[in-house]
Amino acid sequence: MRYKILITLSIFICTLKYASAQTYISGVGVIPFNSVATSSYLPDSVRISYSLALSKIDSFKRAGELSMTSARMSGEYFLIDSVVFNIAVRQRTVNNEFSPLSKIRDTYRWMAAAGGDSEDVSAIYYDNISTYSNFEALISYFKVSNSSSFIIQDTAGQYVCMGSIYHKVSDANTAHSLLTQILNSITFN
Amino acid sequence: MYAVVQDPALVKAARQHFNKSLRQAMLDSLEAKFAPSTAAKSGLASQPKPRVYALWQKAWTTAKGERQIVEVPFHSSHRLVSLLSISRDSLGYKPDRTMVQTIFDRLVIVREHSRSGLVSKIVRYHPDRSYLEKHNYDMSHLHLYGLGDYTGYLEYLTSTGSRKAIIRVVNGRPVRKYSGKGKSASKRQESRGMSIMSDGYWDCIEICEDIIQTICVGNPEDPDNPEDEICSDDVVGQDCYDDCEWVEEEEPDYCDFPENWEECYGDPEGPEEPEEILLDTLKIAPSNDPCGGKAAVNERLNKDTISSSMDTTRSRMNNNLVNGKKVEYGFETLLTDLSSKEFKVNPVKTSNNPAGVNLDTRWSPLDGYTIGYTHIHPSNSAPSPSDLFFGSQWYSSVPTAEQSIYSSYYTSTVMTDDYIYVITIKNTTRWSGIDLSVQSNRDAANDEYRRLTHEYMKTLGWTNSVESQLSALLEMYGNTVNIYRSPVQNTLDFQPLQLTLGGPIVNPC
Repeated sequence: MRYKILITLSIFICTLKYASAQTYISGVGVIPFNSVATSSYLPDSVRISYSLALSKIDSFKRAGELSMTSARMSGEYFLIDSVVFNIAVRQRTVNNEFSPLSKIRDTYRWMAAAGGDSEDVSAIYYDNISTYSNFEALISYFKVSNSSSFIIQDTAGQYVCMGSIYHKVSDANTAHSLLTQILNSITFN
Repeated sequence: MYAVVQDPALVKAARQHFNKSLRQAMLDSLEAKFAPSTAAKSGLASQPKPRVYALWQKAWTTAKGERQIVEVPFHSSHRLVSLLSISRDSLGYKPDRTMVQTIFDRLVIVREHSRSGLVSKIVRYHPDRSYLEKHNYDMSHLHLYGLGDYTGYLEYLTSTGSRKAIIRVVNGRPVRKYSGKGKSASKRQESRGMSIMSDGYWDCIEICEDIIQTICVGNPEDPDNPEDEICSDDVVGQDCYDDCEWVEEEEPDYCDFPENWEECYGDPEGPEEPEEILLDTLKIAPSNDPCGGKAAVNERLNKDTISSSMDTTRSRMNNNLVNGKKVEYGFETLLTDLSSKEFKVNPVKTSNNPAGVNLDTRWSPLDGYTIGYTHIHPSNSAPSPSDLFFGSQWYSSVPTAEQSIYSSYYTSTVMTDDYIYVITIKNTTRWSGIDLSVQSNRDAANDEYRRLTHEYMKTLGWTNSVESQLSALLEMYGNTVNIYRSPVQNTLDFQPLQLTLGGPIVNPC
């Protein structure tokens, strides 16, 4: 009888341990952000699990939008002031090379205008390529939206980072400002 | 040709446009024009707040090709009205204040094509007294596409009340135009470029008319304030404008204009052959199943008629740059006979836009039955959400008995340098319920399309955005449409795509 209780308890503990296992980083070829760069905004203490990130991102969803799925999640997620910041860092190789960023900017801009008049796109959409401490970045977003995207390439040619920020539509201005602050804080090793 | 049809969706879009984009601007404009200093002149004890409203239940909708027009009775509590009496038009009387109440406004909202936004204007009707008497002062039947024997003036205003032009109309036809923007010198002047007509010019003189200011409180038709109407009016000034007459002259040769020379004198290899309309027949029945429909797609896209037009489309895009940029070109495919499935293609065209081309929908024995839309992407991008729903807003306009032909034979084809994509309808109910010709819908779809594409690029580690775009489209609309793809090659080989965790792959039919 005692053995039976011990076995049951062991199974319960193992199950509990398995259930509490959380994913914090994922993706083919993805490496931890903190292993290649630093940012005061992105300590491990604000990094969140995939399950929490997924539920937070879904809470920002607007009517008719698709839910986030694990198939579209990669890299690491950080929760900063009600905004979910996501970044996936990879080695910069032939398969991860966005140089020049203007090419991908043009593709994204076309997608924003598709079906409408490309001359009117600046009224609804923003993009910008800027140079920071030791990298350049493309930022793009719809002005009324719940997400923005960015692509970073370090000037040493070692890394490429793709990421997004997710937020409530009403928090867009705060999120855009936060994104700028985070990019300004990043320094590659 | 145009058709006056009931289109509740268009009225709804127009109403949203009015509430969201027009109403406040109109009120602001009225507030500015009727500043408190004019209150004393109004004769009312205190200056009432301006009100504007439209009677949407009385809206007319008209379709002409892809051009859609909504005209709706429009009321404003505050108005500045000019009494028009121009000697050249020989009215036989001089309008006085009693005519003010016979002058009425319509809000006209136009969408040029499925991919454009809404444009608005006010059209103010000034019926002649003889016309009013003939119709017993009941003008409720009048609208721009139902002018009948209307005789009077049509005054065109911006939505905030600035005059654009006055047109003299006799028996429903325009006969003379006045710019209404006068205050220029009173000497006779010539004015070219006032009209889209190119075979003459306007000969103008300046004249002036009294302006009546009207302020009303209440209106039985006002849904929010249905009280008895009390109005006061006063002469507050003069309006001056050009009185112009159209002078015929010999039509200039299109090829005399240097900007057209490249079209008229062709390329060094010789003049371009006129586009010949070729007819062919579709033999294989389409299917909404991705595998079952493959043969019909391959039959159609490999027809010489289609291939030839696609070659022309590609050639035009590569050779005819606009401001140094490539722009989209495209053409429509139409059945000429619903039974035999004989079809033709329309000439290749462009809207000079890098992100879109205006393709028309026709559904009549005379014009043919549009079943295909083809265009090329200079960006080499995969299809956009709008490309998947070309013409969906017209589905309900097709006679019910023929809707299954439209939906089963429907194709939207997108050409790029490396691939050609064909979209067919998988689920008609879902497809016809998505209208991306409405800008707000399109912006939302494009936002999600861009976000999902970025997420797929991020997840799969691709720099090739096309595969990520396809993944996004298949996730967003894979239950609504079929997406086929073929490499650009002599004999096109279209295969349906499906989404897997690793991205889009060919469906192993």
